[in-house]
Order: sequence, then structure tokens, then C-alpha cells
Amino acid sequence: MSETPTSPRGATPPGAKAPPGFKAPSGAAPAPKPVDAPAPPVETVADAPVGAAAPPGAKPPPGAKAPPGAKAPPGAAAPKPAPAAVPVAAVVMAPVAVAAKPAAPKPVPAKVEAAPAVAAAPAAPKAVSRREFLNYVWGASMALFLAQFGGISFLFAMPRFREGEVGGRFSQSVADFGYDANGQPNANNVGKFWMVKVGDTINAIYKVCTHLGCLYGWNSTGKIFACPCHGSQFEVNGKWIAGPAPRSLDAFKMQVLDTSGNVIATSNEAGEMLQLPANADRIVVDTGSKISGKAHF
Amino acid sequence: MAIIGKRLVDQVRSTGLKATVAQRLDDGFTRLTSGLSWNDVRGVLRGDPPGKPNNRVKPHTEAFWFHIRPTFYHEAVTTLYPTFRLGYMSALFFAIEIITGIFLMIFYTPSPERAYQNMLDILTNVPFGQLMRDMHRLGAEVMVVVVTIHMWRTFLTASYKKPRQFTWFTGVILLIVTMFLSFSGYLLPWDQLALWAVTIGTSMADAAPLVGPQVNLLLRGAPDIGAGGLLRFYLFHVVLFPLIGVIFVAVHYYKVVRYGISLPPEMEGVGEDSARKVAPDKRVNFMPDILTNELVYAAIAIALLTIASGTFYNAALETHSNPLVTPNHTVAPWYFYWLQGLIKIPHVLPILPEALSSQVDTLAFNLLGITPKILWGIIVGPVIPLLLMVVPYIDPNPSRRYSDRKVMITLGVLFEVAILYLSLAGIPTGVPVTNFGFVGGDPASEIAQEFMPDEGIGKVKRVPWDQLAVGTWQIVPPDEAPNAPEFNLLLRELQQDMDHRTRQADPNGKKLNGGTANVRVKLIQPDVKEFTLTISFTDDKGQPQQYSKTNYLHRNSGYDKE
Repeated sequence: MSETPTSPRGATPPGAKAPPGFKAPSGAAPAPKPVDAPAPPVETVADAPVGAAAPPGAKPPPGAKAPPGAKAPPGAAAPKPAPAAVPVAAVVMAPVAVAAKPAAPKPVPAKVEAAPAVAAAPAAPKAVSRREFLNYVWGASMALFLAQFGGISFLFAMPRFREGEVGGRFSQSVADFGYDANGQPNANNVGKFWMVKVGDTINAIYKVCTHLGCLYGWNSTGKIFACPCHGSQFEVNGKWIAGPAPRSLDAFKMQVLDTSGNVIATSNEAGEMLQLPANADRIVVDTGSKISGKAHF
Repeated sequence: MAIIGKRLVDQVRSTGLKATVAQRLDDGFTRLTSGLSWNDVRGVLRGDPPGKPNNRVKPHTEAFWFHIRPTFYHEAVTTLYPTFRLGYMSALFFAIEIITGIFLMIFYTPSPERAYQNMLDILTNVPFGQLMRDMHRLGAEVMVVVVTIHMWRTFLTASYKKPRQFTWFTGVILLIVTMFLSFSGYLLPWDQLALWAVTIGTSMADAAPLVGPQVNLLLRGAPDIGAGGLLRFYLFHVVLFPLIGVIFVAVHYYKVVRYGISLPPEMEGVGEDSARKVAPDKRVNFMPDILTNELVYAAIAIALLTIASGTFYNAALETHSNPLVTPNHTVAPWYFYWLQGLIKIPHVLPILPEALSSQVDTLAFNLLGITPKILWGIIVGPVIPLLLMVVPYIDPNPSRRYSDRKVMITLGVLFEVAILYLSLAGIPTGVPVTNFGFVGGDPASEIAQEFMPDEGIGKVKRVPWDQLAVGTWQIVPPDEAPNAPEFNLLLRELQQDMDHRTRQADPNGKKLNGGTANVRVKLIQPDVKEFTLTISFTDDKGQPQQYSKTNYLHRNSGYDKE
């Protein structure tokens, strides 16, 4: 709003105070253009069809007012005879629209007067200059770099595991599946699974509650699994009974081996209780392949 | 060098040594204060009116610490109402947390092997270590409260309206940062509370659709919280979140300097903002009035925090974390109870009758893959802060007057009631009257949990060691041990609790059936007694059942003296 537009390098209007490093051009009317100025406003005026009202190359009247909104930089008004191309500094990319303005014959109330000149401008859409284009390309490459950086950050921050640290194969004997003296199912605390047995069927049930990751415990009075955090309850076979857990307990894939090491039975896809064959000897529980419990609705 | 020396010599020659030294000292002083000489500062301290031009604004334009504060306030905002100085208090507590936190960092190593031992060292071996930890913990909780009330006040006085929308937006970010800061600090003591509260928290992230498992892995550093998770949470706590906090505090402060503090709503016309258009006679200069006032607030707050931490407040430290046992009644920190309550909502549309809502659940799951947990915990939970962020942009009412904002204030109050209700549901006992949120095992284990909790010190451990009478004592009716009044009181309380649970069902409809119980105290080592509570009852199927739980007490435990 009230910020004074600063002159970007190369677009210093004649007569305006040059940024440090430039020598201010002496107050001569068609001011010599500063070094490397790409589009000197005065030339644009001559070519601009919009500015037809003004004789080409006509000197704008001295002291022409800046368009509304763009306050002239403090130094701009000082050298009187300078052509009032000041606004160019504010709108670098719009030489046509701005340049048309000082060509207007009468610098009466700027606000009213400036409007038609600006309104006429959209007829000639501003072409993408080389600088603008290169800035887009540069910006796009920066965006690409940031995206790559984001991807690399993700990969970098993801944890890495040693082999066997997560998921492993646990070989249990058939006798491990069952209950201890207090009636609590046996468990493998390293693999984090219960080894439950109901009749002739067995399962390796993951010890973590399907609700929010607490370790549910064995409720010896109710003969059920009950979670201490949010009260979810499950049957011995992992089936959901009550509480906020969204699904029954998860189970691990099992392979049943006979005495000579042949696989004679495996868990089914749903991870249901597995019927134990008569000649079963060892059971291999693969904690690397977890089977999600059944959602209960 | 030679020239400086010559000038000095010249000055000494012309004005004398004393005057030269005085003048040079004052020069240095003026540099330190960014523009105020010693006499200017004395004028401030004496309460002299500022000169013309007022050179006391110089530090606001020249110096960093003053430039983030306005040069003056409208006199209407210098009273307690409307700001209650809550924003300042939030920043103050942030500073207290940083300072106490740095002290704690000196003695802390984020490794599972050492963290818990470090905590014990801080509590017992480090001078003022316990005070530092208590101040850090209590300060964090107070900060959550202050920040929340600050937001609530800003909402009520509608100070979030134009032009302060973005200030509010950054404020909501700061609220979230405050909560995350507090929560990430939870894991660091590496006790049971830490491990399991954070397991619950990260499991919530795990349930998010699509990205959940990845986010969970990023947070935990492994499928389960361990060394990697502890290090990650430590870095969140001491680097990432403080950094985000500092950045947004800066933005927030800049906006306050830019727009001023909004006047009380009744003092402005509708749609008007006059905080920066203050008539000279209504101005209260920051220096010295606001400054001294704020220093008084800071002094009182720090004094209260120190006294509370030094006397009654003790930050809990539970037993060493155990990844194999989840203690009973594990809960998230209290400021996340509302979220915990949200995830206890059992249905997608809980207002419908039971049978119908189950069908809706099935439908939602089959059509959209949404379970109640995903909906309430993962979708609605995070949407609430997002909703708070956009409040200024969607509130169409330009007026800040209370009387013009009946709808908005009603919505705000309803929101607050909902949060409180959900918070109540978040605790294990749930909402009284309804059984919403109730988490309970069978009555026998609940009695044991009440008197002998898994974590913390229960009534049993508070009985003096000498009074724990060795022998077996019946509870129904309670026996009387000789010369052990507190032990006998414990037996009577146990009997009353059993009686209560026999007559009245818990929210799940469970009662204690035909309960009898006894307590056995045994001297198992010269200085250790074993206390076993055994409750016998009949279960739903009419089968006799027994439940027992054991506590151990050492002669020098001294829980009774705490």
C-alpha cells in the first residue's frame, strides 16, 4: 500500500534517482538509458498504438503525475524537467500500459485521467519476455529440486531394520500351543504372539490390540483377552467381543511340519484357527506375515 | 588508533578527566540501550513524562527485543480485560520451558539404556534437579491451559476478525505446536506412562488411511517404540517443534506490532479497526508502563510456578518402561482426552438406535472403507484444528459486538461443551450417567486396581510399614489388627468398596457376586513385606472364581510420608 516502489535494476526511469551504483542521468529530457536497461519506456511510447493520442515521441509534459497507487519514489520528482516515466519502475513487466500514460496530453486529476489509459492496455496482452520465461524455468527447476529433496528426506527418515529384527520365523513344538497351570495361554514374548489352542485347532495370535497398539492381557476370571487401555475384549480364538477395537485380533501365518520336516498344513488366508493334523510335530510361526483380523461389521 | 588516542587526550585536556570518563561511559550505555542515555533511563525509572520528541521509542526502532513490541497500547487494552495478558503469558511460559528444558538436557541421554537412569539421577543427585523437572512439566501443562484460554478469549472478543485473520491462523498453529511439544516430551522419561501413552498416540497415526503405516514408522523409527523412537521423539521435542514454535511466535508477534491489540468490541464501530489510530491522550507508552507491568506479571507467574513445583506438585515418574506389559488404565495426557474420547465413539452415526447404527457402520465400511475409529480419530480429530484455523475466513459477520454474535458465541460454547464431554469420555471411568467411554475389567480387578494400581502409589502402599500386620485378615467382615489403625482403616475401606460393587452395577452392568476376600501379609525378607489381596466371587456362569494381586513394600519405601 504505502510502500514506495523501489526501482529494480535495469528499469531505472530517466530522472529517477538511480540506485546505488548507478550514476543518475543528468536532467536532460530524452535521458540516456542506463546501462543494460532492457526496455526503455520512451521507446515504447513511440511504438505503442495505444498512445496514439500523443504525437510519437512527444515529450510528456513536465511534472506529469504518477498513476494512482504508485507513489513516486522520493527522488523521482526532484529533477523537474525529467519525463515522468516514473511508474515504469513500479510495473516493470507492463511497459505499454504505463508508458501510454505519460503520453496523455493533460495531466489533470491523475486518478480519473489514468483510468482509461490503463483500461485500454489489455487489448495488447503482454508478451512473455525472455527474463520472465527464464524465471519460470528457474522457478520450475527449484520446485523440482524441492520435490526431490522432499522425497529424499522421506527415504532418509524412514527407519531401516536389520534382517530378522522385524518379523522372523519361530519354530515351536506342538506342545507349546496350550495353557499354563493357571489356564493362561502360552505366549512367545519375543515374537509377540499367543499360542492358543481350542480343541484340536491352534493359532498364533499377535499380542497387540487392534485398537491402539496396547498389549492386551489375559483375564483369568473371564477366560478372555482384555485390553487395559480402552477395554476391548476378545475370545481366546481372537474373535472380537466388545470394546472399541475395529476388528478381531491379528494372527501370524503358521506352517505345520511333521517329524521329517514336511509342511503338512498352513494357515488359511483369513488367519482362522488351524486344524492340527495328527502327525504334527513342529509349528513354524512367521511373524513377518501378519493376517489382519476380521472387521466386525 | 593514534587519532582516537589524540581525541581522547584532547577531550581530557578540554573538559577534564572526570567529565571525559562520565561522557564515555554514558556513550557506551546509550549504545547498550539503543538510544537511551543514563539520564533518559532515570527519567523512565522516575516516571517522568517522555520528552518531545519521545526518544523512548528509539529502542523500538533500533533494537531487536523492543522492535517486537509495540511502542504504545491504547489505554483500553492495558487493563485486565480484554486481553488478560494471556498472549504474553503464553510467550513467558514458552521461555520458561526453553530455559528449564536446557537444564534438563544437560543430564539427559535419549537412549533406552540410560534415559530412565538419567531421570532418577535428575530427581535424586542433581541439585535442584527435581525442581527443574517439576517446573518443566508443570510449566508445560500450564502453557497448554494458558494458550487454550488465550484462544478462547480471542474468539469471544472476536479479535480474529479483519485485519487479524492471519494472526489467529498462526495462533492455532502455535496451539498445535504447544500440544505436540508437550506430547513429544512425554516419551523421554522412558517409564511405563511414556511408552504406552506414546504407543497409543502413534497408533492413532497408524490408523490413518493410505499414509498411516508410513507416518507411524517415521514417528516410531521401528514397528515398536524403542531406541529409534526415543531418539526421534527427543529430536522432535528439542529441535523441530521448538524451531517451528519460535518461527511462528515471531510471525504472531510481528502481526501484533503491525495491527496493535484489538480494542474491546464495544469501543469500536462495526467493521472498524482503530487499534493503531490512537489519540495521543489515549496512548500508554510501552516504556515504562507496559514494560514494568509485564515484568510484574512475569515475576508473579514465575514465583507461583516455583512455589507449586517446590511444594505440592510432583511430576510423576512411573516404573521403567516394559514393552511386554501394558499397565491398567493407560491414558493419553489430559489435553488429549477429547481425542481419546473421540476414538471411543463406537459408531459412524452414534445418535441412531443400536441396530440401525450397526447397519450404517457396515454400509460405511463397504462403500467408503471407513470405520468409526478412522472417522472420529483420524478424520474428525485433525479436522477440528483445521476448522479452528479457517474460522476467521468463514465467519461472515463483520461485527465484533457480543450482541451481534449470538450464533457464533453459541457455536463456540457448544464446541467447548462437546470437547469437555469427549474429554470426560476419554478417561477410563467415562461419562457418568451414560456408560460412554467406560473402560472396566471385572469388578474384582477394578477393586485391586483402585487400591493397588499397576502404576503409582495406591492406598496399600501408603500404609506405614510397621502397621502392615503380618498374618491373614478377613475383609468381609473386616478383621481388626492390634495397634494398626491405618491398616484397619484400609481393611474397612476395602470392605466398603466391595459392598458398593456388590450392590451397584458398573456402567457395563457388571456386579460383584457373593464376594469374600482376605488380605495376607507376609514378611518375605527382613525388610520386605508382601501384601496379597485375594477376592473370591462367582462369575456370570455361576462358577467360583478367584482374583489376587500382590504388592511389595520395603521398610524404607516411605510412601506414607509423601
